[in-house]
Amino acid sequence: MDCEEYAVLMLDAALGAPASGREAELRTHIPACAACRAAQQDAAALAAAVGGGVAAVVAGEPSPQFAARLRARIAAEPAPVAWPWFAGWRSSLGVAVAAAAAFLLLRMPHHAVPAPPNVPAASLSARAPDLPVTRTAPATVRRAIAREPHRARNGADASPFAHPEILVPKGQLALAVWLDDALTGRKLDGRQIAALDERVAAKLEVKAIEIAPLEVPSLASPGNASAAESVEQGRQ
Amino acid sequence: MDALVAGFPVAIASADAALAREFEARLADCPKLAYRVALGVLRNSAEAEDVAQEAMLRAFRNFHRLRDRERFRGWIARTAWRLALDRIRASGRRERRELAAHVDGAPPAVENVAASREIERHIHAALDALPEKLRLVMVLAAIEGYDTGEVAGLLEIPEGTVRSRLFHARKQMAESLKWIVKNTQS
Repeated sequence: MDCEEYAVLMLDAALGAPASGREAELRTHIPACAACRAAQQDAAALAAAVGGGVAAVVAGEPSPQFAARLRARIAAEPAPVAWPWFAGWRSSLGVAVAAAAAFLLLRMPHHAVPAPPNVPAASLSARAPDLPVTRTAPATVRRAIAREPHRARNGADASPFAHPEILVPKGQLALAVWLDDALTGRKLDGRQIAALDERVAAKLEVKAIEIAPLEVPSLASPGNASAAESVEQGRQ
Repeated sequence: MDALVAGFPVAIASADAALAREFEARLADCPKLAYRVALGVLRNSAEAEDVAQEAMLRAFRNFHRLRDRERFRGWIARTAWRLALDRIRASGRRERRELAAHVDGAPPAVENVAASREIERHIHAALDALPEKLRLVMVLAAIEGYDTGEVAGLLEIPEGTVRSRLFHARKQMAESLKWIVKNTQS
């Protein structure tokens, strides 16, 4: 090894490099080599300049006004939230309650829901979004029930508003009847109701029923003359 | 700094007493740490104080979230570092400083080398030229009383990583500054 390599090793060692395993060799060489002794001094001076220079950068104390300024700023702050473990406990409690509710819902006994007539069970979820069915009566019906609460309390069939009329798209009547039976007869479990509720609520289309006045043709009109004659003949 | 600690019970009297005492305990040396870390980036006492104050305020606001209180000092150091970097980036002064400094290793005239202010400027430039990871380790290690184990604890990285980064940082700075040593010795 030549002196240049020794110089590199010495500088690395001065800068904190991990042991190279050649320290013994270096210790033997340096006393006998003036150039390496000078290089060692340079390395030490350079390492000191680097370390000392950075240390000088970060040396210093905050000013005497630092404490007063910080005190004033913190005094203007709202107090920190106490009991951090309580916040964590509250969130943990929320998770625990949700988990318990989900567990109870899954464990709740429910009746098997018969498949709707002419509707495959697998296609229910695909067709459900188009159902114009709601589990709550329209606002007009709710107002009518409020006006006549005694009728609503006398049973499901006591009030004509208990089963509001709904329009069902063509071809989905059987499915709507089945769904209504399942809902009113409590044959759906929580998960099925939730799934249907989401889908129905996502796309609810309720169309108003149009009621046109019945037009009765007048007997005195020319078009009804033959009919009037036949009535007269019958009397005779 | 004792005066600082003594003044806080009034400000946080309404908070939970135990939490307040914990925060007070950390105020004993954390403002100084934040100030020095910021100073290592900004080189300006007033600006470093602003950053240290902001770091301490953030610590106060988020103290309840720092579940592992042993990491509080590291959190303060890293926050002060980030705030200082943000400030210097926003002002664009770092670029101007780097342009002004001789980071290419070209030795200036001997008479300028003799001026300590010029040497200081080159040391600052060499420090600024370091990658952030190396620079942060270099600054923290230069703060009085911080060995590699404490720096590793502050940054939550292995001590071997700190030693390695420290060596590479010093090596890179030495390459930039070796002409200073040669000129000053000649």
